[in-house]
Amino acid sequence: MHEGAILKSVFDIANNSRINANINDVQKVKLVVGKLHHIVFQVMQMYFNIMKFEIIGFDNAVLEIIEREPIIRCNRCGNTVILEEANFTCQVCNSHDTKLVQGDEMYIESLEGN
Amino acid sequence: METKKIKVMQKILDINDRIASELRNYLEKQGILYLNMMSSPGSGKTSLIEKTANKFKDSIFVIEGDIQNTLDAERLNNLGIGVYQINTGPFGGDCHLEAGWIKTAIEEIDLASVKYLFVENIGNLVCPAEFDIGAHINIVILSVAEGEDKQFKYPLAFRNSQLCIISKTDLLPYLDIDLKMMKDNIKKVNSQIEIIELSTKNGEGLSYWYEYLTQNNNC
Repeated sequence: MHEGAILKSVFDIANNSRINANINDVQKVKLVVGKLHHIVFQVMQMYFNIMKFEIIGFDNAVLEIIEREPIIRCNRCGNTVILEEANFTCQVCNSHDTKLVQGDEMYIESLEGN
Repeated sequence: METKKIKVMQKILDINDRIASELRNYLEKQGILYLNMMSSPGSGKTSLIEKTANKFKDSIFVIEGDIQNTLDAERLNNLGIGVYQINTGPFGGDCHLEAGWIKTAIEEIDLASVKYLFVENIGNLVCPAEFDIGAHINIVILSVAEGEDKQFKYPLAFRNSQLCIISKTDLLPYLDIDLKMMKDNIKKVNSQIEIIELSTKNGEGLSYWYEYLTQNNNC
């Protein structure tokens, strides 16, 4: 249930970017969110479609979310794998010495409009 | 009219993270160890703080996060320690605390004699893990009654914590829980995390917790 708080930050940043870029009518806000975050995309869409009417310039905006799979790389054997579950142990050599290289990001990638 | 596409590339929680970073640095300079306690409801956060207060009474302050009511704060207040209540109800019933709210609280608290600042975050393993509140140590508390698999269901809380406390170990004789499997599974999610097993009921393991606090209060 923290999607509303996250979207408030999205709108704060997106609105600043809109003003700086002289965009009057935002068509699309594009986010990148790693799967490790507990975000329910349908809830994000629902909140977005309610909150957008409260901010000037966003009435026609749609939200696009790119989901990133969690990927780890083993520092011992170099194996790289997409995690199917939250087990960060290397599936090849059983080492705990692994690094998360993708899957915990959460940022606004771009804004489109005119 | 031609559509413009602009790259933003900004972290969504950037503002929260910046405030969190300021808090971390500020409290480090004050010589205060700042601990964020996260868990599901009923894992024993308040009970552990009560026990800790008996040991470090004059040097503890607690910021209590709840959606509603002041029940936990009253329990701690009765022990004579400083407590500041944050109810997120007025903010829409948010299920987590954010760095900005902690900053506002700290501006109102007299920290002169405080060496340990505890935040008892709102009870759930999902939302609090998303928001950095600037703590020096994030602690995830898991009671033995919760089973061996919670770290796989809520990995972010375990990935973002430096310490896992396995609580209520006095219940082990009554449960079909494999404690070794529980600890192994926690390490599969975060191999760097430290683990302390304890019971506030019979006092088992509390000495390791007190030692942990003392050893880490060097900031």
